[in-house]
Amino acid sequence: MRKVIKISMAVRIAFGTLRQEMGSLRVIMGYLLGMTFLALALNDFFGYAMDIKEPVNIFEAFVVMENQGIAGRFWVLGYLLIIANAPFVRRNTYMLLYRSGRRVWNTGMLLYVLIQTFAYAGCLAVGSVAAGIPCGFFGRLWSSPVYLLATNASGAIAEKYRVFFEGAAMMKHMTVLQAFGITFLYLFCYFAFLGILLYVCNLVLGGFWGLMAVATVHLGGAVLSFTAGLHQSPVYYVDGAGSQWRYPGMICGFIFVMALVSMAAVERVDIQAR
Amino acid sequence: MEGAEGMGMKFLREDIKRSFANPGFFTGFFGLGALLAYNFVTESLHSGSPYYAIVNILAVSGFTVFLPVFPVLGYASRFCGEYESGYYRLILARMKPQKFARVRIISVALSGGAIVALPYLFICLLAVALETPEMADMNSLGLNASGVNVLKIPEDIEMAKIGMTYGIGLMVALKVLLGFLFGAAWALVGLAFAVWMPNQYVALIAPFVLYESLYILMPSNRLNPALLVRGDDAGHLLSAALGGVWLLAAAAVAMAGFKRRCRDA
Repeated sequence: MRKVIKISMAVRIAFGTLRQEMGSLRVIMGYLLGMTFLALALNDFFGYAMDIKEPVNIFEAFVVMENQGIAGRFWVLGYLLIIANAPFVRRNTYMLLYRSGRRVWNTGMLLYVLIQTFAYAGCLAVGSVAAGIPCGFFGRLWSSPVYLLATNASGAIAEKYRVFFEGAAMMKHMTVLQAFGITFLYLFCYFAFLGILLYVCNLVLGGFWGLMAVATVHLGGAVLSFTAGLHQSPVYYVDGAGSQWRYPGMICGFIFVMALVSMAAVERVDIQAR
Repeated sequence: MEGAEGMGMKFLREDIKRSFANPGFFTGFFGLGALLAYNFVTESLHSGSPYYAIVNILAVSGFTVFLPVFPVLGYASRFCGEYESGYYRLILARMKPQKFARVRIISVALSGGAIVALPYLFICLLAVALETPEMADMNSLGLNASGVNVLKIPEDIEMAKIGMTYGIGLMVALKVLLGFLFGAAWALVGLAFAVWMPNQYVALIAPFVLYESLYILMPSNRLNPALLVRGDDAGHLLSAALGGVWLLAAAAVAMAGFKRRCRDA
């Protein structure tokens, strides 16, 4: 029973923090920045679709855009702005700590990061679907423009429209809705990993180190995707044998480990200094 | 005792000094410089044509999408800190809001314009210094001895015509002018946001959001700021004039914001 009470307290702390943070201009600008980068990417994709005068599946834009460099490198900036003030110590934090205890508060903060991650990734997904409605159709089938993109070996389309999609294997083994779901999961896992990393490093080491850790991971990931072919997009891992589940599993493992570290650290850190 | 006019000039000089001697200015300057240098090295180095290099860096490469980020870093968001700390009241105790607004608009515009113009100038001079015309490139436009355009510079673009008619010096000067006007205008847009909503995140990010919205909503319109900074689509002189219009409009909005914000100080 006590565990249930603690869980419900953590959930209330998470939603209370969400209510406080959503009124912040920084968070609003973070969402706006994310939507701006999404619009930039969608502009190229829908420009291509309209040029060849073919409709696209409304769920395809998100799948294709997540594969682009601009998505991988810049969508995360809005998210980092939203959670920039991790570990979210506010004036009422001491009262929360007094009433709930450090561990419950910490659980609430981790839940808040996950909720914001879901909300941000959800906004990107919903935004891309909404943008595709005027020139799209709904269904399980892949559209001709995306098929052309995936099979265009010469790269002429990519050069002209600045859009590419290496998802031939994904199109073969998955429906559009399945691809949409796995793409959302990949994006959510990556953002959640960065968010929890930022939170844990800020909590344990202070503000500067959290940002350094996130920058290292993000930029390192970008470099590795160029040099070692280690991509974040699921299109490179779908092979019909379930290999696409390795990345989310690995990320969830890392998140779990970082959550355990935060549970141990929160008992010792000086919250006031944060 | 120093007259009001002398004090105003002194404040202007000090504010201009501060607008250049702050970390944001150097971040914007070196950030844009690094981006342009990267474009030069990866796309235009050893092309054998300074015209091709300059066209490629300043017109073809995709850095104009992110250009408004840099001028805003300089001095545009300074007012947010002054407002939140209340320091602006000390300034207003010694001068009228209109004078304060004029001084701040001038310093922000100069800082923002320099953040874009100086890297433009350096990269153009680098391209002229390093890209000596080679082969049978008689007019430095990528034409070989048979007149075939081997470097694929469209000969009908205005920049190429200006270069051929008046020389590369005028071409560089026009590019630097357009860059200065662009940087000044968007720094003032940042200042306008800072004055109407004194929040640093709004001042830094809202100009970028506005720029991208215009970029997407009017792709072929001559008022598109991305086209104005390039100059080739609308013509360099018209682009400079429209850039000036953007600058004056942003200054007017900033001035209105100053009057409103400082009214009850």
